[in-house]
Amino acid sequence: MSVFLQQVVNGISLGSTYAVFAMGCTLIFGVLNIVNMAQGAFFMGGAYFGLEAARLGLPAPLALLVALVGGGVLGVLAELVIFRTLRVRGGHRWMGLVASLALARMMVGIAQEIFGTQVQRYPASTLLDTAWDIDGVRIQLLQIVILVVSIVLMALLALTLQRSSTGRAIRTVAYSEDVARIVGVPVGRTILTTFFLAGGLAGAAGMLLGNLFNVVSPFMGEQMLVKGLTVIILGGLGNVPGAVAGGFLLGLVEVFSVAYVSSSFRDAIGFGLIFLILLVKPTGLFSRFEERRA
Amino acid sequence: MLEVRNLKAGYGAVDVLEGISLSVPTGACVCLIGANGAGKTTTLSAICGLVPASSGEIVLEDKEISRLAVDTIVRRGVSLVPEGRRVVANMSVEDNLLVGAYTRRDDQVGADIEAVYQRFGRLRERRKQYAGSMSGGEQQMLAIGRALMARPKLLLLDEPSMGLAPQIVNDIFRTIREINETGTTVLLVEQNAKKALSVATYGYVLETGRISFEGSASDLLKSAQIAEAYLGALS
Ligand SMILES: Nc1ncnc2c1ncn2[C@@H]1O[C@H](COP(=O)(O)OP(=O)(O)OP(=O)(O)O)[C@@H](O)[C@H]1O
Ligand SMILES: [Mg+2]
Repeated sequence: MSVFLQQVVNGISLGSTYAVFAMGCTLIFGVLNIVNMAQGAFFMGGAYFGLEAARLGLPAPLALLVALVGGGVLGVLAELVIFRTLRVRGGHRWMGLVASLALARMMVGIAQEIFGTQVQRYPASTLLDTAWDIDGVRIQLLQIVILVVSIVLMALLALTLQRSSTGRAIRTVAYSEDVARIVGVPVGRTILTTFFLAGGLAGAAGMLLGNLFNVVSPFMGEQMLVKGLTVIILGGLGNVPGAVAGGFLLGLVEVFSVAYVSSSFRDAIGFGLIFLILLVKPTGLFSRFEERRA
Repeated sequence: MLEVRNLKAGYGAVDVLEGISLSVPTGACVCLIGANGAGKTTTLSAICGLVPASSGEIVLEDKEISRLAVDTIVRRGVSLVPEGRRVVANMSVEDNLLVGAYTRRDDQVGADIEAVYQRFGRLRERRKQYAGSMSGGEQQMLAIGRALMARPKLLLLDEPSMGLAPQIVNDIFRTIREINETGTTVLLVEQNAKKALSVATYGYVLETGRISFEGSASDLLKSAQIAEAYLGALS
């Protein structure tokens, strides 16, 4: 029983970081309908931004802010340099895919050059090492903090999308750029804001996951991108609550397959399950109806 | 309010509008009628900046606006009720109204939403519902309400009667008259010429990118030429 509970605790804290990252992905892929393969690189970038901030002696909350803003700025740059340029020149969606993939590769190369290929670790002062043992279940303070931070980020994004003028503008641009223009929404600026939010979520998720395992590496973004894509398809493209639920689900599935089967089967089981779900319900687990663009 | 002079505009290299001029005096309700493909929608799109003007002038309250971005033109007081309504289907009725007020930063938005609900009781009943789940007539009301939320000085309406039952069409035209009577200048595009001329005081006829006829509503109604081309088929 305690093994089971232990996996639930681990799976939820891991899943919460997936959920934060997946929300950013669903904003870009689902809401804006843009294929941005550099989203994982922003995740990796955020982890390094947070790491450097922590090494400079910033307290963890400020380092997280640096990771978030840093990821957001990377998102903004990607939009300005790649996606906007391609839109203005009438480039095909696939060009954005290839260009952002190239950007991601470049960022991995730059990170390797600056930080080396060796795994880096956060300074001990950044990490919370308190932990409790309750009936054989070990709960780290860090896991709880990560979960709480993730939930706060999710709530902030949900509120922004549902209740703010910017959020309504984003949803309107997602529906139709022409309709957005008609009501006076500056489309370019709104897309830029969305890239900032998505990059920021990726950057924050990078620092959170980097903290959870205390591992930062130039290659951490690539697997994450695949997971992010999986989760947003699982949750229904463009569906923010779906991305959150999908993130937690993937975290739990991974942790359980490691605990009960074998760590080498982690991906096989995780992705196998997702494959099954998609075959049964192609619009995603949590979509009430297929969201359509006009 | 609005002066369009020698406007040429279109899509890509080809001009759909081959130099049109029209005038909408402050407080007036002017209509633009014409057959399918004449360029009515293109005219409204050019006025609000969605389609670039290749030459000519668009002057709003003595200021040239033909090079401005759409959101700037909306801020200057021009709102469009687009052809086919184009409400945001996966957003609630109330959010559609709120996004209509995107350009505003004053504290009267809530009061104006209330005013729209007063005008269209159905929208109040359905305020939490997805806009896409409403009937065509309700969506048309919402599209008009959304445009009003920007507090326009000039309201552009593109075929508001399209695809609606006669009773609803009457309601819509009554609303347009009311909006005009409370001080909003209106430029109305219609294929339903008879209806349009019952609200408008002046009209233009557009034929393949050129103004072929203009005159007061009574002139247009009397004109045999117009009757044949646009009224006959509909009466
Ligand atoms: N987005 C577009 N791209 C290219 N050509 C277009 C576009 N929209 C309209 N046109 C062309 O411009 C011409 C005028 O179209 P427009 O939509 O302005 O006509 P309309 O008078 O509004 O017609 P309707 O009564 O059918 O709405 C048509 O020949 C049409 O094919
Ligand atoms: Mg038209």
